[in-house]
Amino acid sequence: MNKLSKKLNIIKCFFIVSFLGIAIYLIIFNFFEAKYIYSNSYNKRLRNENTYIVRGDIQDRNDIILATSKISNNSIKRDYIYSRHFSHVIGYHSKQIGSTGIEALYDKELSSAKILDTIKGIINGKEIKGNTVKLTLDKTLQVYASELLGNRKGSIVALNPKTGEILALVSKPDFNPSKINANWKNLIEDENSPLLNRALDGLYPPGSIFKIITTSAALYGNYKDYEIDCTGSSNVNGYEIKDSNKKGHGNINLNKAFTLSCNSYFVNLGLKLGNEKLYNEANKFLFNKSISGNIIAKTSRFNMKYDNKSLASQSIGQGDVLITPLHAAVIASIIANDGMLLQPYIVSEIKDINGKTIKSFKSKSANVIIDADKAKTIKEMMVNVVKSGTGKSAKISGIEVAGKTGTAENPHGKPHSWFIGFAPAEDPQIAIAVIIENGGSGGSNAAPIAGKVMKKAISVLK
Amino acid sequence: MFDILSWLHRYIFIFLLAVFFIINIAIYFYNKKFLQPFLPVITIITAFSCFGLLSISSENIDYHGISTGVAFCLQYIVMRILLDRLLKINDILLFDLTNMLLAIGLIWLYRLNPEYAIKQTLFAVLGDTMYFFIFFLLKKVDLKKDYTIYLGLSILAALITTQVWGVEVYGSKNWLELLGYRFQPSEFLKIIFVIYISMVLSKGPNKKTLLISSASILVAVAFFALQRDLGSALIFFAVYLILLFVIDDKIYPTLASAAAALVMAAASYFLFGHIRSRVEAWLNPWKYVSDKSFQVTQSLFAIASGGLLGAGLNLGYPKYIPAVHTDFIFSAICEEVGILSGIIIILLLSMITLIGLNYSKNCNEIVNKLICLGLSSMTGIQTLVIIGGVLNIIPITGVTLPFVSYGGSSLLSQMINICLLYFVSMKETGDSHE
Repeated sequence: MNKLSKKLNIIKCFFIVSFLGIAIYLIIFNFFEAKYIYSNSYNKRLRNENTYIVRGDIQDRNDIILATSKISNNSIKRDYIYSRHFSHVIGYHSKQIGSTGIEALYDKELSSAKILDTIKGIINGKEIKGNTVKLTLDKTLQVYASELLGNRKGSIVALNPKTGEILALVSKPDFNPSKINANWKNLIEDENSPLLNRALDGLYPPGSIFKIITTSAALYGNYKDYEIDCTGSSNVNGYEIKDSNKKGHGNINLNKAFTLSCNSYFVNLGLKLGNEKLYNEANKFLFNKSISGNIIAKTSRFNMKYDNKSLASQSIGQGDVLITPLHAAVIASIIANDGMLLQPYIVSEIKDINGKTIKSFKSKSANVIIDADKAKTIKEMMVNVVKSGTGKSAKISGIEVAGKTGTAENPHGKPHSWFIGFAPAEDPQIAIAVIIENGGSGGSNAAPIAGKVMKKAISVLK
Repeated sequence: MFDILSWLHRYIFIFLLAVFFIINIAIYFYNKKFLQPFLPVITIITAFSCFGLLSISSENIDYHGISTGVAFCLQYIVMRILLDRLLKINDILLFDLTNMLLAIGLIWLYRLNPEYAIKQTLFAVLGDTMYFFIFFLLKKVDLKKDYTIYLGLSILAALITTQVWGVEVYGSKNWLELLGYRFQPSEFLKIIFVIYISMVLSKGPNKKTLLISSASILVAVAFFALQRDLGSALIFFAVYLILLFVIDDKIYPTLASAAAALVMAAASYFLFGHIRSRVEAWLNPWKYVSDKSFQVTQSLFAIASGGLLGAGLNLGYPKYIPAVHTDFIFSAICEEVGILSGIIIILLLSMITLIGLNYSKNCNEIVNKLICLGLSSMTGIQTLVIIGGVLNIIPITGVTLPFVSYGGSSLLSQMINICLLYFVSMKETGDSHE
């Protein structure tokens, strides 16, 4: 009999734990997932127009208005002041199509006001303006970066490595958010996918920018003094990997190989390190993990492989390794910030109509990704890349720049052109990732754009 | 103006619900019986405030709303007095709890479609009469006698009847049509099944009883699989496992049955396309957002849009969710009065389960113990299965939220469930007095 009671108690516990578990899940759901779920374009609520509240403004870091609601001829129109330059990041809001970007993610905040103000407005029959969302973006830098990229397909992401604030988030090709309804049909049929936010949702092979991670694994695995004799190409189980320098780099060490982006060296280094070490290092640098902080990006991929052929291609960022431009900028910022990561974020404040802060956001305490001394070693190598290596065209006069180029082979034609880096090297103000789809070599195409954006950023942020 | 009232109302609603829950705790855990009369008062205030608000939601005052509220309250008060005076039920807590949930259900059914609420009220009255039916009819029945043959055969007959003459509704062929009325036999079979299995297992867990009970559950689950009634199959099996776990000293028969269930679940995944698509919809809800996962993602949107406090009664868009009045009513409630209300509803349902389990603990006769255990576990499991489903924690299986969802068969079966709990526990105390 006693045993029965004991077992009944176990059943009771089972139910209590399950019910409380669901209750706790609901709370977690509300605070961590609800926002992203709500902003999904299949949520028809995003198309509803609030009857009493005029959608609020969206501002940049200096309170410059980027999007606002204008009342003309008794109808309210959403006005995107810098039109195409912010098309993906701010997104659009349309009754017919729904919302994307900040317009979707912060739909609730933009279309609500303080309850007392709302009640007053309803009683007086006046329309009330919704809350203002303040971004970390810098208008000048965003417009500059967007114009620099021009008609090329690709993306630029710039962030402050010390705070995690996103300063610019450009994706090309873009669209005009004010004319979204009229152009909708063309936009969804366009094979260049102008609606895709490449900065967050574009997954690209990283190519040689991944060598930062291979190098970090080498520093941890005590392969700092590893040397090879580069002949211009290596062959791993029938997989031929060529170097940009066909004659070969001769006898080469880690520092020189990084500066000149020697593929043979890193392939052999990767084979020495082995699959597991490289996989663990990639995970440390946030591959296969979501990058969170009031913005949603796709998860970058690095699969565990067991054969040498895959390992060889993975160690130079090829094979099935994929990365988003935001993540690439985050990797640059980790090295810039002595191995510490601050989660990138894009909304800094929600303000009411009187400009009073309702909510403010900051990146939580920094996570240590790699040790400071290892980060400093990589930083020195990245400085050499711009000083005397593949990234010379990212130079800024008077300021020391650190960077890494990438030329990523892909099945869609010419290689993608990559550059990630930061400046000034001794006291980084900006970390950046630039990718130009099918842009050819990273050193000659992405690097000069990155250099110009970093120069502009340093002058603008002063 | 309605919007302002509705915004203010959600605070009142959550407050009333919270007070109701706290009083429940005080009565149940701290034995503060004098608080008991407050429970019906709170329920009636809740019902009137909500139905009152709904009746002024459009320009003309809608008297149907108020009269539905009045009808519910009359049903509740009259029944409560009758239970007290006529049937001498001394522990009325369970009844108060179910009526609060019923009231919440009626409010949202009315908000979604007044016709549902009116029908549901009628079923509630029908459910009330079941109390008298059961108390007077079963009075002479000795649960210790062996009725297993009759029960077992009648379950089998009902399953076969459904299989042969069943009608398909919402993709499941588990409905019967009689004189123009449709009902779901599986809802009533649940109750009979619990009594049947309890009687079989109460003879002691030996080879024979284990064989009979496991063969019965297999047959029942096989029929449900054929009728595409996943929810019933899951609930039957879970309740069976709980009964087996409690009665059997050895653990391995329970483990073996659980393993068998897993194997069957895996096999059905490969055998049946509709199960496969449910699982896929559960694993990748955003991949299939426009087809397979449409329903559950719409449910997630509703819950996500509500936040802690909700949009306010009648100010949300729960009708975007297909079948919102049956399986997904929890999402509708969360959207309009918030996750906080949702949590309290979950806690109220867990109270019902726990009170039932305590009845089981207080029984002396093994068969009574098992019946109480089975009946209360049924409510608990069903709640977990449907709330887990609408939150996409588990695949959606299409069962109702006890006492809240629309559905005549399911409401009647749940009221009979509570009634039997009362009946068995009172019979037990009555027997021991003699």
